[in-house]
Amino acid sequence: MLTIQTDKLRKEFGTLVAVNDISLTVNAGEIVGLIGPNGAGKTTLLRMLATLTSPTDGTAKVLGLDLRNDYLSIRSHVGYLPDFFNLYLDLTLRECLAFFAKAYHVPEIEIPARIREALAFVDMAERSDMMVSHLSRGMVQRFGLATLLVRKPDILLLDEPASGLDPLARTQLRNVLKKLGSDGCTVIVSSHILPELADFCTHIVLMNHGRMAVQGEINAVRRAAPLRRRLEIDVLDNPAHAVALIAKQPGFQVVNVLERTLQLETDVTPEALAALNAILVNRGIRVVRFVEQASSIEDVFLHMTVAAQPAKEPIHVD
Amino acid sequence: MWIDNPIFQRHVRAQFRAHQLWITMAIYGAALLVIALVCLAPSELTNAASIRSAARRACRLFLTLESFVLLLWAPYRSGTALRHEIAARSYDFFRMLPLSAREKTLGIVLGRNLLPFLLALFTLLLLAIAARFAGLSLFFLAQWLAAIAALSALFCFAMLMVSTGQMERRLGIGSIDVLLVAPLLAMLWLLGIGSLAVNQTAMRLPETMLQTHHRVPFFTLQVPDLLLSALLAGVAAVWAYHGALRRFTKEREPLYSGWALVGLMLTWLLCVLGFYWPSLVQRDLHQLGIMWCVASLPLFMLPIGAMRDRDEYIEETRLTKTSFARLIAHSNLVVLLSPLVLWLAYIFFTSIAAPELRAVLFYTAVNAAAAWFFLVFLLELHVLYGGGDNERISMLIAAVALLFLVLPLAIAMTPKDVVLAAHISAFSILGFWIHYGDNTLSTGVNLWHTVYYNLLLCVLALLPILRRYRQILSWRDEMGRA
Repeated sequence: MLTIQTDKLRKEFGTLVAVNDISLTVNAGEIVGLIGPNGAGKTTLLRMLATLTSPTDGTAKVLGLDLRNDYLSIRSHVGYLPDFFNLYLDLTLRECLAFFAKAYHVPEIEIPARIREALAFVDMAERSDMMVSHLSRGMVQRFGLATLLVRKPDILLLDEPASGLDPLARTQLRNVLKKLGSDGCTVIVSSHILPELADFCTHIVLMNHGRMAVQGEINAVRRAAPLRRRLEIDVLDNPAHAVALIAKQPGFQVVNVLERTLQLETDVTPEALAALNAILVNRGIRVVRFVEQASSIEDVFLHMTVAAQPAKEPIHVD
Repeated sequence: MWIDNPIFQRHVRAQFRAHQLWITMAIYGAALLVIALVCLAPSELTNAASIRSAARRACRLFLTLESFVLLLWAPYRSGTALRHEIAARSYDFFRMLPLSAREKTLGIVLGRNLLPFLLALFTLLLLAIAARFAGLSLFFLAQWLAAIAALSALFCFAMLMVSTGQMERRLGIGSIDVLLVAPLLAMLWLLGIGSLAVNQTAMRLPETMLQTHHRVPFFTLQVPDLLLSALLAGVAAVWAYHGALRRFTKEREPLYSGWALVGLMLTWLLCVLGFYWPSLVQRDLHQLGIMWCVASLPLFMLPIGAMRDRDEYIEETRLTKTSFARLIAHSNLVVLLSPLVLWLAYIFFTSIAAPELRAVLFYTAVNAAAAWFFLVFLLELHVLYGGGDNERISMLIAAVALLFLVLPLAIAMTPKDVVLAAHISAFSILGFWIHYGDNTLSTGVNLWHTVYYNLLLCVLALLPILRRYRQILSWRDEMGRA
């Protein structure tokens, strides 16, 4: 079922085109990672979907409701967490959650259970009577998620939810998002910490210069990315000799040497890889490790944003 | 039920937390102690007359305290509610709450002010007790309270409305609603609330505040000034309440719709007519001139709240097939014509009572309209070219507006000839109205020079406006989005 559908959605700020004709489809239950460098338009896109910024042009439907005309109705179905926020500092955690539950018309009888559930979800059950003002930055970030969970929105829009968090808080946040995904919630999450997204996203949307460069299922995008394969070879001694030997072989390019680890890019066949291994061994190079590395989302991201020019037409990968 | 309102409950919880409550209660208690010390000093209470005098003094002080709580403290708290949300970075959450505009507005005004209102209620109780000892008329006291309560409602809703406007990008400057509300309040002062506040509260407070029963004419009635002030403030409060509601429900649109603009103007004209009805009946020509001037005041203020911004123009050209003619037809210039038309109709119909003024009336209408057009053109220039990253252009436009209003008045100070000075100052619409009542403007010199001057300024301002309209259309075409 289509949850979000945009058609040439666009936002201009004066002469700056922040979001440039984004046509996006998100189905129910998908966890979509929104990737892009700073200034790519991720936040503007999320704010438009959250109905907090009006589009300059294009159309969008969220749960079948028109983004431009039904924005007040959309708000009751969408939970949005900005990149930098705070909550009501003069309330306790329990009071704050009760406020959001009531405001979003959660039945009175269900509110205490929902509050317990939401606090447990973000691992803050024992702090329910603490004032929000006493929470650390990381705790506020997690608690922000609890304010969304207490009312169980159909769609979650999370803008850089991991920014400003320490490694432990990031791990906790990632676990929360994974759990949400498994519970069937539709989530769009933007982040520049790419490995985190790769961990739990089912789909990715790559944005650059306000345009959508790639959209699709995450593994399909990885596979379809026009990247050269990467090899890592660890040798026991004489890496310079190994580099010289590899340079003579067609189709291989040494891109980096880290002490005794050689990093190569190649587009040769598996047979040619085996032949290279044999040549090195036969010429007296003691090979400890010979590994082909799978391209990561980070590679795709770098390829799309650094190497490539902004795409005119987005690539849809199914 | 408003007590079930989550915003109300959220503010009440925060307000009545012990560590915050005791500070407020301590300050209020100190104020009561000061009043008690001033009024109940033993040396003062030697006989019945002195007790009565002390009670009267207590009434004045309780009334002052009541005014402070309801006219300053409560509006301040209403006006800072959203500012606190912004400062706390929780405003996005507030905007997304699926509550009705009424729930949001009343939740803030009643919830955030519950403590001030309870303290005001307690002060009222003390005031009633003091009034009993002072032998004051309860009806008179009730008028005072009605006036303060209505003003409090007006200030609370107006401050909330202003603060919501500041959060938006309307016209590119945050304080634009202050420009709207400040003149609105100033106008209310002109129409009687001033007499309440200035004559009674400030200048004559010690002696006559609790004794005088002023009555002012309103149409054919003689209404107590306090009651009339309460009624007018009540009407203005209803408009401010609707303004705040609109801010929450139509957050992407101007503060007033076209119809509200007409409604506001008609309300204003009705009030002015009520006040000047006796002058109209008696054909007091001098007063009629002043009435037309007073009636025109909203012409120069209301347009600010009804103006669409540049983004809305651009969005319209993207969403519909817009031609140059259609863009002009939907532009601020046309939408804002309605108050001018109403004012012209008003002075035309009221002039029926004074046919001898028809000649000067025609000139007045044309001159005021030309000056109005120029000021509206300046506003439109600000919308199209200023705001956001172009604050300097806005500053330049504001400077031009200021020069337009003030420069002729400044130059008029130079010549010693009174008639010449009056004619120079008439090149400013302010100077024109200032000298409208006296005869200096009707002697000899060709008054139409001011009209030509205003029309020339209009043409100069209109050219860049039309250029920008064309540009907006061409931007659409350049981006291939027709």
